[in-house]
This record gives sequence, structure tokens and C-alpha cells, in this order.
Amino acid sequence: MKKALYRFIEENIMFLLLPSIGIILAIILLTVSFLLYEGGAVSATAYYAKEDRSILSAGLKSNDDLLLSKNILNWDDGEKAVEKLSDAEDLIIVSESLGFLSSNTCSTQVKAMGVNHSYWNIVNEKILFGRLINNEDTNFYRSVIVINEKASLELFNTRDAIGETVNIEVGGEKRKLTVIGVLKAPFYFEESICFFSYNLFSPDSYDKSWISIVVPQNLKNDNKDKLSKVLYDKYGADIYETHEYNQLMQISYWLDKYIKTLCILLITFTVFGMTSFVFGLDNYLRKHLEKLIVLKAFGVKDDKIKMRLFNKLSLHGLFIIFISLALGYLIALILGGVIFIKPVLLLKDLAIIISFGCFCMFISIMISLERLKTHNIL
Amino acid sequence: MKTQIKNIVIWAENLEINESLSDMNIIVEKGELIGITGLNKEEKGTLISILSCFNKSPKGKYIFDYEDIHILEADKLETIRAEKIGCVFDSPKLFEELNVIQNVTFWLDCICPKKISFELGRSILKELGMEEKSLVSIVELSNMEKAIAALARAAINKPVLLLIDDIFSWLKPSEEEKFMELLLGFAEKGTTIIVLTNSIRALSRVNRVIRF
Repeated sequence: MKKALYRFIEENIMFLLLPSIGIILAIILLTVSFLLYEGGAVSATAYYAKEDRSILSAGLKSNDDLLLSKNILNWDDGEKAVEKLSDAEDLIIVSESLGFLSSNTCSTQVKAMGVNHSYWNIVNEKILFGRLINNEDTNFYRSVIVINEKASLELFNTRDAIGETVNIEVGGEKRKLTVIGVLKAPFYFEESICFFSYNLFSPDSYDKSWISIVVPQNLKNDNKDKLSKVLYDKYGADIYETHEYNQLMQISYWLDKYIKTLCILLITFTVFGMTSFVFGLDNYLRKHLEKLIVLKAFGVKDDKIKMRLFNKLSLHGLFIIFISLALGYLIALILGGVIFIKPVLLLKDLAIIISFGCFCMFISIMISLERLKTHNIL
Repeated sequence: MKTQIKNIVIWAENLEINESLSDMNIIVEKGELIGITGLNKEEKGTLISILSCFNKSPKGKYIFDYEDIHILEADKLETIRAEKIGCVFDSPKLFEELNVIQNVTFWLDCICPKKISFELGRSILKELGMEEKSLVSIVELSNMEKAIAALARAAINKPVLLLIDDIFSWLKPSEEEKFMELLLGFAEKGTTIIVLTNSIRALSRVNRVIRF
């Protein structure tokens, strides 16, 4: 039995393996793309969207890469905007720089992030130990820090570094901070990162800052106009426009840029899978043709031959495609779970992905019927 | 043509194989072992397909076991093939992924319950002296054993007619003799056998030779 199965797999490797690879890759690509989009977009907006709030940022007209780093609000602009926009309910502050973090035994280069408590509403992070930076930490200038697990392992050789003291240097300024939280780091994230209250360092210490304003969703457009006017006083005609939160823009920008490549890859994988299915199926049918001739010669009725062949095809071909689809979804979800700690798929995305799977199954069945007709079996 | 109707299995009149073979007459009685020779491969194939009720001759009359084949529908012809005719092809056409008994019962499994076809398979292999090899892989068989397995597959349901295409080209002279002995055994039990071959050795053992 094992020998027969081994021989079958060996003889039909093209029929079994290559279509599976194509289908699995296509499904992974499709699912991970949706996870990437929804994971980023939803985690960036879900908290505020749930409470009917919108996040506004602003950019400069002249910069092509506005989406990545050209949010022009600095701390002063942000505070000024909040004063002038009566509807502003929250301010999200993220300032970033390269820094050095050291313990008693070793030091490491880190991505230093000065944030306020609202920052945690727009990111997809999982806390392993301790807690995050809160409002009081910022208001009272508390010397506390949250690090990711990579930094924790590098500095203290343990993931649980709560209570440990670290020295940090950002933009030439030095502070001594106590670790109050450790974050999970996705495997692809090779950087050590730390988070602390943005106001522990002067604005000049940071390389760049993103400041966004949270307003009620129904007043989003009014506030966009007001924010543009406020900023126009300072930046004049260079002001590009106020827009929804930066991260959403980044993702749509990324998708706009790579959508053609993604589509080409998706089509290539699908065509590869289906083409190899056709060749493999032909090969398989040729091998079965002799059996069919024998069956016909001995008077086995056509219906029974078709049923027998269909059963085998279902088992050997269509079942393999079905398994590949399921495997593709599974791998994609695992990958998604690695990329985003909390992967997000909306119902409409699921419908699209499952429809794609059904489309592949439909095409496989049509190909099978067509090849059966070509070989004069049907 | 005056012939006693009793025990006639094949009555073929003016069958057309091709342009040069358009008036073929064959009459075979029950239990006869006859040889047909002088046909090329294509003609042999066409004649076998007509005699085995796979195709109908474009003209003439073919009565098999008292049934006029020309007026029967495809469904009925399939039933006749399954119940009354067995074929041994010019090569054994056995499948390497199946063992001997699986090859022997291969087609019967599609028609009757596996348990019954297995019993019939074992019985015919025993009759042909191959019972010990029933679970052996086809690749481990000699050419003679493969030919016997092909014969067992054709004779598993005790058909009225056994059509033997030129399997002898597969066999050594001594094996040809042995194979003919097996065929004679079936003929003695009442099976009608038609051997299509150009082998002198095989033809020397048949009751009658029809030469075209």
C-alpha cells in the first residue's frame, strides 16, 4: 500500500506538486496582502473609528514622499491646532530618532520613539510584561521606558526586564529610565525599539515627528479645512492638504505603488498552477487511457467508467487542489499572525479570498472536463 | 450455405474489414479452438473489434450466441461483452501498480461486488496454476506468467468466447506450447476460442485454421 502510494506520488509529482505550489503561492499572496492592508488600516483606525472619531494629519504639497515622513505638524503646530480647532479631542504624538540604550553590562543601538498615551490606540502591539506609557507618565515627566523583547534580550538576556534601569542617549541628551513594559516583537522586526514620553527630550533631539489630531467623524471635513487654514498661516501655499491618518495613506500608497506587481504575481502563480495542472492531468489521463481501453473492451459500461475515473480524478486532482487551497489559507494566516500580532481580515476580504479559491476549483473542474473530452473519455 | 444451427457461437456473413477484405464468412461452433491467420495488425484489430461486439461491421451479418449484433444497441453490446466475451490483447496490458489478482479482477470489480470478483479471481488463478502468485507484483512476473494473468483476466467470468490476439509474439517457443495447452483446456470445457496469429506453432494446435 505504502509502496503503491509512493509510486503514485513519484509518477504524478507534476500533477500533484506543481499545481499545489502555484495555488498555495497565489492564496498566500492574496491573503497576506489583505492581512497587510486590513491589519495596518484597521489597527491604525479601529479604536477611533469605533468611537466615530477621525484622525487628521497634514502634509506639504512639494514632497513626493509625503506619505512617509512629511507630516508637517510639530509639537507647537499640534498644540496650536488643538487650541484653534474647538472640535479637537485628542492629539497623537510620535517622535523618532536613533538612540543608544545601555544597561550595566552592554549597550545597543535602538529606534527611540517619544510618544504620548494616544499612540497606543493606533498601533498593533502586544505587551508581554508590565504596562505601556500612560497619560500620567507624560504629564509628570516620569523616567520610564517600554522596550521590545529584542532590546530586552540584548540588554538583560531575559524577556522580563521590568524594574531594570537603562541609560538612554537621544540626540546628544542622556537620561536614566526604568523599564515598565516589554513588547512582543514580530520575527521580521530585527530592530531594538524603545518607547518613552515624548517630552522627556527636547523637540530638537528627534529626527522626525508625526502629530495627528483626533476629531469627531461627522466634523472631519470642516476640521480638515480649519487645519489647512491654521497651517496656511505658517507654511503658506506649500500646504498640501490635511488627510486621514498617515498609516492609512502609507498603506494605500504602498498598494498603489505595488498593486500591478501584486496582480502580476497573483496571475502568474494562478496560471502556473493551472497550467501545470493541465499538463499533469494530461499525463495522468494518458496513463489511465490504457485502463479505460481494457475496461471498455471487457464491456464495463461507460457510466461506470466515467464514475470510476471521476472518483479517481476527484481524489487525485481536485482533492489536491482543495488541500492546496486550504494549506494556502493556513500558511497565509500563520504568516499574517507573524507579520501582524493581531491579524485582521474583514468579511468582505474573506469573501474575496474564498471566491478566489472557488474560482480555482471551478477552473480545475472545467479543465478536467475539457481534458476528458479532448481524450475522448467523455 | 447449409449449416446445422445447433451449438453455433459465431455466424458472420459478408463482414467487411476493409476494401480488400469485404466478404468475410466465419462460422464457429461451441468449444471450437480455431486460428485465424493472414491478417495484418490493423485488419486483426478491426476483426477483433467486430467479433468482440465493440464495433459493428459496415455491412454483412454477425450473429453471436444467437443474437443479431447489428440490431442491438450499445448498452446491450456492453452487456454481451461483459458476460460472454473475453479478450487477451497482443500485449498483456497489465498494470504495474496492481498485483496479479487485482489485475485479474480489475474490470470485474466495476461490475460485481469485490468479494465475488476476488473469489472468481482466485479460482481462475488456481485453475491456471498461478494461485501462489496472486499477491505478487506484476513487475516480478515472467512474460509467460504475464500472459497467463492476461488470460485469467479474460476468462475470469467463464465467457462463451475467448478472443486471443497475437500474444505469442511475447512468448518463447516452449511457452507458446504451454499457453496453447491452457487454451485447449478451456476449449475442452466448452469455451469457444479464436486465436488470431501468424505463429505456425500456435496454429498447429488449433482445430481449424481460417486463412485470409
